[in-house]
Amino acid sequence: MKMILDLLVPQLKRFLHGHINMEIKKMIATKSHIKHMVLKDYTSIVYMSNKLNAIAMISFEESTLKKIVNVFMHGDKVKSNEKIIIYDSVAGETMNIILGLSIPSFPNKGRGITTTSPTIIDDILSIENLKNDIICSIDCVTNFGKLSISILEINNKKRHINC
Amino acid sequence: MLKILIVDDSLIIRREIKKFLEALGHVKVYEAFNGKDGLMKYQYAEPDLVTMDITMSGMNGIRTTQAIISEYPNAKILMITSHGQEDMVVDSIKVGASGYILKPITQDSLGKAIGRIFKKYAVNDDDLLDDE
Repeated sequence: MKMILDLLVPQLKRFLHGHINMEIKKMIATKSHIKHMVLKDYTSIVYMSNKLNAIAMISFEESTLKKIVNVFMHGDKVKSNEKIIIYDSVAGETMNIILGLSIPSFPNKGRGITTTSPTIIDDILSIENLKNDIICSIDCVTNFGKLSISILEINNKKRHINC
Repeated sequence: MLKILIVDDSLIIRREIKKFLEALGHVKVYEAFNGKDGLMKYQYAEPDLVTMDITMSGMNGIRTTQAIISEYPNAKILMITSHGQEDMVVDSIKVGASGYILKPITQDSLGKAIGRIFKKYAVNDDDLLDDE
């Protein structure tokens, strides 16, 4: 799983730098017990299955995600009544894009890996079928705030999430 | 000006594509939030072009493309994918998609992809090359 995480990080950096104009100033590799892991303000996950049973997760502080939202909105203002849906959508799409950019660098060029649409979560304990209690993450400090990216191994093809 | 249907379950991507299309001069833009909705809206709008997300929950982009093509064999469908995986793209082309572009999308990449499908909308000669 750490190897997969290592493959996501360069694409995360590339996307943030090239598309968002956001720089990662500091990165820290962490291992957390699931019970102690605290999600940031907006968190998105994408399931990978078939050749790899895992979840890719990205968690943003609001200030970090706000910068990405602004880029996706191309100058349009986010109306207050649609803020959550827009922020959730951008969090999901960011995970989707980073994973999509990374998959070709996975073993066997990622062939045979299928991914789901992104899902937004508020509580990591809502994810069932996790294989390990320990989660490997990279915590990133950017010039707009923090975010973290993680890989969670799951047991088999059967997927459940309580939302 | 083309009449275009955007099929994508991501609100932000629908908005982004719509904005790019309008900037490219295509002001008749319809939106569908999943495959089933896309199929219904296609029947209603009969667009010149569909932009189709590959990964959608429920009826995914490949199945939706297949359903549209089986009813409208001349439909032009541009797949939008975040997966640089040959097999998904090949599956899309096999069921009748006209082309694809990778996310993150830019106005330039979208304009060029449209230019490859509809030569009269090509931005420059390079867009006519079948280089994807």
